[in-house]
Amino acid sequence: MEAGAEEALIDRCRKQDVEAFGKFVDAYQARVFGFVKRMVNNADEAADVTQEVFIRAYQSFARFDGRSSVRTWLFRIANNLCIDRSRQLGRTPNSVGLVSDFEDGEEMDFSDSRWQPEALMLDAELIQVVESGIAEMSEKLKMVLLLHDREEMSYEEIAETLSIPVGTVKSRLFLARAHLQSVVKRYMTEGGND
Amino acid sequence: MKNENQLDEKLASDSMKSIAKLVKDLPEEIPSMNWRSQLNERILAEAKPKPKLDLQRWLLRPALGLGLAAALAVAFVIRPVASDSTGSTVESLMIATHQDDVNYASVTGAGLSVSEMKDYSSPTPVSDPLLDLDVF
Repeated sequence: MEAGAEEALIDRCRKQDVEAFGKFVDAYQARVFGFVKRMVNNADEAADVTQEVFIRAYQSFARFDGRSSVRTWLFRIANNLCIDRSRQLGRTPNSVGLVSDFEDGEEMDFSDSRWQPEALMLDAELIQVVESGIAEMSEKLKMVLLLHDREEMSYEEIAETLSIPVGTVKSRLFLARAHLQSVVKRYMTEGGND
Repeated sequence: MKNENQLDEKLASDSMKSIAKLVKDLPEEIPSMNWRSQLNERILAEAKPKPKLDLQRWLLRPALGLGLAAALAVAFVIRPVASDSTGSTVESLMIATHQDDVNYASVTGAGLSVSEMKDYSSPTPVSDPLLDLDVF
């Protein structure tokens, strides 16, 4: 969506224009649903939470001041609702031991001859491997990975969305990608591509 | 990681970029039409009460203002000043006494005022035995 058109749409949404808000939902529903689904690891629950995200957005659009982008604002709502839902259900965060594995500056070894990331093609099986790798991550790592690598948010936008320092965003992104690398490498070395 | 620059370099490496691309290229899933129609219903339900509230507010605001203005007018403007002498306050009694005196004076002329007159028609018995002439 062009910047001018989006600005006009946002202005109408601020005035609780249902038709304009419908277009806003059209523009963002797949991205928000994808984010939420990977955060909660359940399609039905993701559908409920995504609806709630848009209802909250509709209710509070008049208070959207435009200091951040509408995308940052919307994903902040989505992120907060995912965290709330997780707390309500009493879920314990996933505990992939990423921090202890890599925080000491340990270099990851991807020197295996079969590890050729540039040659990676997403087939159905690899998609499943990557999705599983994302599902295993803690919420903190997952949300940074999804916001940066899927939603293409800048470090600063993510830091603002999650209220954390930029340095923390980078370190979480590194740990998340490193985990995925190890998952993909394991899949390749254990015969996924043989 | 010891510092942010090292982290930036790591994140910019080809292997990290290829992982980022894998994540970016994951297929997007669009919610179902049923989901969307449910959302539309919820949004419409959210939208409906708003005009009613606004309408009520627009109607209530002038009504409340008028009511307040009327109450103030009754309290301070329309209510007569308390000047009647029929009340029981000290001021009312003084005014009533004064009006009676003026009325009597205009009929009887100068002399004792009503409030200064004593009723001699039924003399009270003298309580001092020395002054009681009947004993003699």
